[in-house]
Amino acid sequence: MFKKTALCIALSALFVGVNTQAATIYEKDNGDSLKLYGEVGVGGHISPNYEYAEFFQDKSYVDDSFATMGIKGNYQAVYYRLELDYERENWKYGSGDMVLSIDKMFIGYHLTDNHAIEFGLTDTALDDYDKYGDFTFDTTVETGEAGDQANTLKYEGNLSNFKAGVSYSYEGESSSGAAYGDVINGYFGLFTDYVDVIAGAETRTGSDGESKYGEQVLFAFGARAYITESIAIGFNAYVEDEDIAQESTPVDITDPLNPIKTYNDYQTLRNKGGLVSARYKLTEKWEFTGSYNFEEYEAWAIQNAQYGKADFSWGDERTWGTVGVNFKPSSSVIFAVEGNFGEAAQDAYAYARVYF
Amino acid sequence: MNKKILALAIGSVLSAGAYADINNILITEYVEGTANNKAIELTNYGAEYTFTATDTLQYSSYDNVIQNAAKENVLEGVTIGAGETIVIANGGAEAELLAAVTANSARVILSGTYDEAKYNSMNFNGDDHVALVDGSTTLDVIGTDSDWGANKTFIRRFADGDVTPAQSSSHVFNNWNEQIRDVAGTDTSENNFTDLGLATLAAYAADTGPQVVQMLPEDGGSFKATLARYVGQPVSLPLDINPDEDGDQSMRVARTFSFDYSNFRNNMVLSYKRPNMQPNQENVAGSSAAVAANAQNKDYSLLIESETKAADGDIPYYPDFSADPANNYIRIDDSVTGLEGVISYNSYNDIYTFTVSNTLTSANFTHNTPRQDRYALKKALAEVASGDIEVKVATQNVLNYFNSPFGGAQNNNGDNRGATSFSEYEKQKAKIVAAIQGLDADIVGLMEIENNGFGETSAITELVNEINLAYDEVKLSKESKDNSSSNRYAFIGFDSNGDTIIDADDSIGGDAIASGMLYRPAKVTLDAVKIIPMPSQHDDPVVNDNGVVVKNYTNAVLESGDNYMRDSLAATFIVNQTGKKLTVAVNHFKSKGSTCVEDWDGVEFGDTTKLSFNKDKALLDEFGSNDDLQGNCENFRVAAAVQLGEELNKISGDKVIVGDMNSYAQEDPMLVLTENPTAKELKAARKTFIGKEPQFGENGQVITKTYGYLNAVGMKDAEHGKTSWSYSYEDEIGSLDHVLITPSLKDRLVDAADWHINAAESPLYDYNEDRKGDFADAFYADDVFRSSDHDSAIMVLGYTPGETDSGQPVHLTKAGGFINVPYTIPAEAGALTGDIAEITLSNLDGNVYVDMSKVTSPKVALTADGEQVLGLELIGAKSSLYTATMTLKRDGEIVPNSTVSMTVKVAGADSLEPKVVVPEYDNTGGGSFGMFGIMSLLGFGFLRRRKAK
Repeated sequence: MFKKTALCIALSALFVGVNTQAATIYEKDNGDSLKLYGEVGVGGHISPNYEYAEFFQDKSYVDDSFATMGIKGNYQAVYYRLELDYERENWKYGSGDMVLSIDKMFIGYHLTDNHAIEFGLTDTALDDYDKYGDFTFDTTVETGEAGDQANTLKYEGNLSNFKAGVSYSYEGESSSGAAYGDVINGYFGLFTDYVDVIAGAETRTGSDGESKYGEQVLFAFGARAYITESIAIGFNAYVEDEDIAQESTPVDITDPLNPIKTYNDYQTLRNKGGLVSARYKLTEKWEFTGSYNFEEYEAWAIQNAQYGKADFSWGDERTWGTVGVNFKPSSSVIFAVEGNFGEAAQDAYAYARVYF
Repeated sequence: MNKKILALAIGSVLSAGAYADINNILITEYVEGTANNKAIELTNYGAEYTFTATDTLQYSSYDNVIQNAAKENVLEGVTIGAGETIVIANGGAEAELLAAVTANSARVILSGTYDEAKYNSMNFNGDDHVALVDGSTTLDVIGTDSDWGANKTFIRRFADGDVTPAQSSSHVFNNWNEQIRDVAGTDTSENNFTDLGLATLAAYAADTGPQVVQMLPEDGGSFKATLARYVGQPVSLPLDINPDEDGDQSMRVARTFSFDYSNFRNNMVLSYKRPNMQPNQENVAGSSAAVAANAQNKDYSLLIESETKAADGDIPYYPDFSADPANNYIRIDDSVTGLEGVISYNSYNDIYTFTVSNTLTSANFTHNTPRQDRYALKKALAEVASGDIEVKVATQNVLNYFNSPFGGAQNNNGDNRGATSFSEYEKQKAKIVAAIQGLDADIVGLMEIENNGFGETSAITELVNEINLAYDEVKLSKESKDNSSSNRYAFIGFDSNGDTIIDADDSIGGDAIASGMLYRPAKVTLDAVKIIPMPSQHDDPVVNDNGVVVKNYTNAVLESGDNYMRDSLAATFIVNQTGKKLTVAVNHFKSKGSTCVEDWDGVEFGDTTKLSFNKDKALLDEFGSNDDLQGNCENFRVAAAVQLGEELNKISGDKVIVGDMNSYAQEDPMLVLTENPTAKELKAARKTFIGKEPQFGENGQVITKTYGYLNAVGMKDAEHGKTSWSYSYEDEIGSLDHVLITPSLKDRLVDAADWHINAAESPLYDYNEDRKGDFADAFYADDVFRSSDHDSAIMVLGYTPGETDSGQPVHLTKAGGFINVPYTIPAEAGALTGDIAEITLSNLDGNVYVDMSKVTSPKVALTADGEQVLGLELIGAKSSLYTATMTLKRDGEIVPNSTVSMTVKVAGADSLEPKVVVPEYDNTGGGSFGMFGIMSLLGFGFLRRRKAK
């Protein structure tokens, strides 16, 4: 469930204006441009709890360093982007190594000023807004949507205060490369000066026995309310029915790291989660965040009922809170610390990021 | 019979040449009265004699030597004068008895009381013999070790012609007279001391032979009431015990000659007019009908004993049995007539005992269910319709077939339970091989085969190789012969460790034994293999009132709360020459012997921490755990039945359940799998798990769903008017082994039967070499009889060539380079002799290149008119998917309505090596996005099924 894209999504949501930091390679009078952008960040999880199955190794500190570099540009109505990520595979079953990967590679076309389509390797539509309403960064509820996908056709548009997006991904994959089947998701949102509301949904067609992932349906909801200039509160929740195979038969184990199996006996497991969060901007440079989270995976209840397996320490569901401090000495730099309490996967998360 | 007691002077009958010898001393009177009034009168018909240390008076089956108060041989040193009569009496005998002896001027020698000499006091109580013994030689005996002489007095009779009787080393009923006139002149037997100490003998009575046992109307149909009238008397068992009932009512063998753990003797049990069917075989367990059937079994049973303890393998009253076991076998359901002996009653076991006194021959036995060899079995089974394909499915218990101690692969799941020597193993193998070859089935489910993998030296590999040795004729022209190589078997392996090969490291489940399956690739093709995990139970151990874990007599935990059973093996086959799938699941449910936690519910242990021997069974009886006669763990087996039913429901097509369900036909697990017409409450065990997943929770669950399977053997038995059984336990028989079919197979079922080669036979015929005395070799033969303890069962199914399940191609296997395509010529074609049948193939699989020019398409002239199935042989068709189009031509023109098209899959037959079968996607939710996904996006996701939890 822990996905590599979590952080960058969180950041892009936070730094809506991040691209303003980009270095312009050229910009023509007709608007055609090419820009270089990216980020460098170091940091990680402090006192992570291995039982929560979010990290590759049982350590007292799990590095979460991350770097991105990309170019983006446009030729009139056509726009494009290539973005490379260099990240540590620190998630469960990850290698723990730093890995370079293409995160985005797409070409888009502005149908009008308010409507555009993209094709390629890109965020699925819901990926852009699945965390909406969460003012924290990395240690809160994760919505189990499909994230970035190749072979994706995406439409996004807005009208007045409304914004909508939908995408179709052919033969999507999980972060570990397991087949999802085709992925369709989308959102619809209302954005005002006082409140933003987003509703989204996703479905996967399933892998037809190729991986453990079967059919899936997910509903997501996010909202923000701007109480004052400095105080905002948010809400985010999702519910997901995901078919997971209970039986597998190895077919080819020539590569022990990537055995080929057939999967059967899919059972629908329900996952759900939600949070409330708040942000307080003390100054331009200092802000404080907090959240209270709830998460329930049916798989937890199943394992807790199993014979001969240890129960999860948090039971069938877990709740936890976060408190964070962000310091932004400039618009391109952020230092942040986020402390966790309750049934959380780590005690704290700390990092420093520079955007260019 | 009139009493006649003669008092004679002993001297008048003494011969002049009498000499001092214990052989001249006789037991002349026996008194077993109330309390300690027990006495034996001895009379010396020879010269004066002084008993030595080896001269003893003994009683009971334990041969207790009667001792005096000093715990010394009560006879030793006692001198008995010529012609003298002395009385040995219990030291606690009442004064009345002692006074009577004194009044008769005789001496009394007292044994010790119980307090003084314990079991060596004079303690016989009516179910013991009493004997005068010289060393180890029994000289003179009265009575037997069964209930014959309580509260009775017996006096010795003269021999014919008023001749002094001779010593008798066994009890002869006619030697003794019970009617003795007491001092008041009344005939009485109890506490009659009138003659005690007097050297008198009763008048000679000619032996009129045994009375013929006969049931009378006043017995009210109770056989026990009949037997009660004959206790203590010599009787014979006739062919017709009840003249008032039509036909013959003979005694039938209910348990053949074997070791009886209740009495620790070799014996057998007969039952009045029929063997004892286990009550739950034909009546719903726990029903009033089952209770009545149980009562009738108890009422009808008669334990058959020998006068002397039978040595292992030897029947004292039937010497021909061990002299020629192959011909003089005794099988369950045999009628036994002409037995002579004495009936007694054993109150401890509540059963009447018949102690045989005559010598039997094979003429005394009539085999109502005679031995049936492989040829007789084949002849007995109905055949499929002409032209149809016959598929026979069988179940065979292989009685813990272990080869690991004899060069086989190591067993990682447990220790040897089978043969204990190589010689025994060879014998076991020979018998099992003969049985499986004899079944001649196309699919054979095996139980109790060693779970030591599927490598070259595993038990199943070795067994199959041995079986296949008989099928050495490879000529296709001789395919119909018994020894054709087309009869060879492959076994089903399972890649349990997921390394994509089937080898020695794989197993089925974690028990030392497993279920297995054999099949004939020439008949069926393996399509899928599924291991169905069976429930395990994990609860707290059984504790006493103080919370202390209770142990049994071996100091092991009485009931740990952890119980397991063997996983089931389900294989789906395609019947060759058809497109029909047939799934066969072989099972071996938890036995009735060991307990599960539910069996101890309500049992009060108090502060007991350790049970004595057999106390566990006594407690279960006392607290009614087995009142419904299902044995232990029926709830656990119900849980297994549900699991089996549910998992098989996930497999489409025709299904067969075979194996040892450890449940009689009307017991709870069988009601779950078939139907529950009386709506009996069926409860699955608590705290069971499938793998690690909880099954029915903390309290178990009442099961209301049934799975509708049909009992194939039961159905055919009903048609044939017979009753089958597969197992003999104690004095009853019933079917623990079953062949169940889905209703979809009902019309395909041609025949089904139990093959009574094992349960009816004495265990003396099995491979074991111990517990058979000197007769192990005499009993053994390389044949099918007693190859196991369970009978096999076999079922015949019929298929029409070319028929298919919906959407399935006809599966054609290549043999000798050609395929045989079944062409079902429709009736409406009006086919005539001489019409020419033609066939064309077109390849449907784009991934396979087939050079169709190399496929020869035959033209076959019909030899009969009308609707028929014609086999068209094609050579050169590669393995692929084709459309086969067949048509008739007459005078070069296509005959209207004669064209038939079908999809066929051409493949090689399965090899004899086990193959990994990769399951097809089961459509359980892994994919097939359609309208549902769209509906979900529109907010109708709540309509999705959710199966977990």
